[in-house]
Amino acid sequence: MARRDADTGVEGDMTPMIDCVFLLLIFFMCATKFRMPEGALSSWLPRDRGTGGDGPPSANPGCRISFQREGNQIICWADDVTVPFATDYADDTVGSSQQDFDIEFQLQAPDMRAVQEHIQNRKDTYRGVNAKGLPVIIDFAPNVPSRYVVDIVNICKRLQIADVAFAAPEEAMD
Amino acid sequence: MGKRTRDTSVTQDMTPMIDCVFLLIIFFMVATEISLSQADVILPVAEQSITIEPQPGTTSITINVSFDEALQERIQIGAGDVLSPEQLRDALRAEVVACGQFEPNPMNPSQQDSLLEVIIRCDQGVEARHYHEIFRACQEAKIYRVSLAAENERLENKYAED
Repeated sequence: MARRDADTGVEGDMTPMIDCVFLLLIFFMCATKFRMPEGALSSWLPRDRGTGGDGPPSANPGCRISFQREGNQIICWADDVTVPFATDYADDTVGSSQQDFDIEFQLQAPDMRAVQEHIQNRKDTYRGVNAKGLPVIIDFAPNVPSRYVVDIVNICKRLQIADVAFAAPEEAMD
Repeated sequence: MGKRTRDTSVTQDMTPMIDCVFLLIIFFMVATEISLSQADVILPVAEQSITIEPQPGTTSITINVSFDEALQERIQIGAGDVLSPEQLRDALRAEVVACGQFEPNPMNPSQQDSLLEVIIRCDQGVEARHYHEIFRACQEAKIYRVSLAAENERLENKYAED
């Protein structure tokens, strides 16, 4: 394909340019990696330093979800109850995502449906004085993968729990 | 500019096609630039996460916690330098000053808290101790609005691609 200038009669061959343009197009199409739509779970940090809660434990009976990691096992307690390990996963996007993650990192992880059931039961039977309803405290060891923390926050949002707090890490006494 | 066939003398104008191709190139060039400006983080999936939209009167910054090429965990503000917890605390204090937006602390009205919001983009595989480090740095900088980034939908075969 050529383009002829009417005044000078000089032909400019457009084929190399179009070839280059198509090569550039293919390069950028291959190099571009589109991101999935991203969201966020909004939260507030406590404005005071955590010292164990307000008042005696009986007056503020929150639900405490704790995580520890021992080797390739992620051990979870919902209050005093040890959560069983997941043997099958929820048939939804979150469940299949956790299954992929556990397989990839070769982890035995807690069954999040059991955690959700426990929090739901606690919420249904909550008779405490907290105006915002059942408080949930997420306590995690430093070496636990961060996704389990997000999973618990997600469960709390799903159950419409407004009072979610993160336990401060344990510090050595002076 | 046209392409003439010998037998029928029909000309084909190539200009619209080249216009479209150039537009496609520009689109992919811009899209590539956007994807490079964020750290490569595999976020957990949380269907309750909501799309982050900037609220009027507030400013937000993003803290990325990800793995580097040597699988070492690193903390960055945006795509900036890798920060230690102490450097993060200092950087957040500087961000609070630069933001310059405050509200009275409801528990102590004489104290001013920052209106800055921190979005934590934490790779799902990194250790959760980074949450503690970031929370503490935020509290020391008087930042109390935080969000944990997550994906709304699952990207199929994510690990197969990596």
